[in-house]
Amino acid sequence: MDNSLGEYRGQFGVSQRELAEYIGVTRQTINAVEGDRYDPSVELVFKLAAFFECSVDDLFHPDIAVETTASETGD
Amino acid sequence: MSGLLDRPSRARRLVGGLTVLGGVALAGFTVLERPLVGVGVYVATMLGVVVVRSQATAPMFDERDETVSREAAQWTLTLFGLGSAGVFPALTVAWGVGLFEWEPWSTAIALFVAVLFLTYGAFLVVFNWRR
Repeated sequence: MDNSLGEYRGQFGVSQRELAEYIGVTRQTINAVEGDRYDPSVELVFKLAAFFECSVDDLFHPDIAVETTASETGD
Repeated sequence: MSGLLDRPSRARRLVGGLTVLGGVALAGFTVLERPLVGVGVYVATMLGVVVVRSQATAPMFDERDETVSREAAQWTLTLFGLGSAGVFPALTVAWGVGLFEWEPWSTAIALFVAVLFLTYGAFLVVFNWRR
């Protein structure tokens, strides 16, 4: 899942290890999320957003197209 | 010891190394007809794993490891499933026409696979019921 974790980490000046220790995961997990090789759990997503004091949408940009519901289209 | 475990990556490698060492020692010494030595080394390495995990200051394993483990288990079941779906019916047919005899080792493997999938099926039922 595309994300801005690296940019936020850079802005806050924290290393992957420091962030991992604070969040309670391994450094490899932070590295895998940043490298788009691992999609984090909902809990981890919210923890990261709380750490950087931003919304989940600011951090993660999933490429998901949701179909418009029938009620919205008037069908 | 604590210095060695300050970095989670080192502790992870240590846990992995001890686990592999224990398994290889158990199998190796059993093959060499020294099963008690094998069990002794295995128990010692497993105790080592417990000590390392209890002394670690940072999480060694997390949700990504669980995901990787789940994926590995999934692939293992799939491989066993596909393998047994082809191999065991073929062996049974071969046995029926007199081209194959069930030996203790092949019977043991067949029973193991059957028990594996029965266990899997039981857990599927339980978890479906709970959710």
